[in-house]
Amino acid sequence: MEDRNDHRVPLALAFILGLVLLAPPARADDGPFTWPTDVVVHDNPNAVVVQADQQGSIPGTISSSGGGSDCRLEPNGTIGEIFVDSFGAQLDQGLDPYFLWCGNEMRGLVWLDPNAGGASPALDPQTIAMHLRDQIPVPNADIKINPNRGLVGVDSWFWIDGYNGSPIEESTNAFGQRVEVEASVTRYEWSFGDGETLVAKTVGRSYPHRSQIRHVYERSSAGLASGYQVEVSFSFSVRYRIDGGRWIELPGISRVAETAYPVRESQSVIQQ
Amino acid sequence: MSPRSRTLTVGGVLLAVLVAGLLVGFLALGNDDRSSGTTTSPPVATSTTPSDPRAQVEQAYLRAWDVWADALVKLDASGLSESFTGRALQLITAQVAEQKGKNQPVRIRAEHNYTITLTDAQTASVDDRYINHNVRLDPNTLEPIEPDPDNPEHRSFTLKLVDGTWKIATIIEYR
Repeated sequence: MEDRNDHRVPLALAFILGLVLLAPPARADDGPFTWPTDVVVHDNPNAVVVQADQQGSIPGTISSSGGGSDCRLEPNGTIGEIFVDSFGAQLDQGLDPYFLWCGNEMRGLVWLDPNAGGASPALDPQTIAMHLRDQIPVPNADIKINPNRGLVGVDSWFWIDGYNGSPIEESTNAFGQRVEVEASVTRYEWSFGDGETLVAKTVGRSYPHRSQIRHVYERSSAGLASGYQVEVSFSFSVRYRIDGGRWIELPGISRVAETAYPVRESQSVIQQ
Repeated sequence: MSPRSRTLTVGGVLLAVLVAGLLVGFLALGNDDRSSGTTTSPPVATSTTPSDPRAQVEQAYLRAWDVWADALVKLDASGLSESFTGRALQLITAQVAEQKGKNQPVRIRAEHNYTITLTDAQTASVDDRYINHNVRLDPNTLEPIEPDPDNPEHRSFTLKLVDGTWKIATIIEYR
């Protein structure tokens, strides 16, 4: 009898091992299979943030090219009939329905606690998003020019010093979640002070390289106190995401750098 | 009547009572369509449309779960437009296509807990705090290859009345 039991243990172990080896691989990496969503409402004690993927064209719905920046939550004014199932708990929990608007379309209802900290006054996601955008640290770039004093009729080379044009990234843990903000320059708009302008995609190249951003002055800056007022405006596209989710576009921002540039006229004098 | 025949008679009566009880039980469970709200696959075709808008929305909502479930088991998106429209249709069509590309069917199951709101004659919202029991399946055996997630989830589904049919147009996720 003992011999038979001795055989049962290894047989049972072999059976279990066989089950383990034959079992299909686990899908722990994928997470639970669930509905795909195009709008995410982050509801937490500090604020409510709405993410909406509006990229692409959906006939008759969203015309905005951005994603989420024009979504907002509005407390219900006149709402239709609410049918609460026997186990529906929204009203019992003191939650109120808010309309979710993206652009001109009412996308749906979300139920939120109006008494949660900051929820009511901070419900406008546009305000929250703009606040994030305004916190982006944009470097203080300087305008550099060669030659230091311009000459009429001669190329002057311009470039930006202190910023190489790479995206500016910043992250914070606002709202108890990881918020990443990214700003990328889409173009540099130069104004040379004599009425001429130029739009560039790069910061230009520093001396002694020949910069792609060049300008020839036709008149001297005589009469101007410090010379021509040269300006460059950085136009940033800005986006953010929460907890590694979809990127959401924000309205762009711009920064301006300026400097004075004296330009003189050199004339040949022929003496007899 | 001999003891043997009496025993057979009593046994027969008991067996008949047992069968009758089981039959009644099955019928009673079949009529209790609100007992759990759990969706199953394949979908059951509905032939009647209730006149109450709220009932229409509820029927359309649960039907949408069935349509989604059917598409994911068969890996066939052709029937989705019956219950989905707009961006939701695009997203779910892409999801089914992705599963088809992976040759991985999914069994959809949920325990519902929803609130229905009619915002206007053309728009309704179903706010559902359901328990997700969805599992990915082996394409050959259609047996689950992962454990039941048994995961609470919260979604708000916006339904639009399109040509007389309620369809899910937007799916809002709460986090």
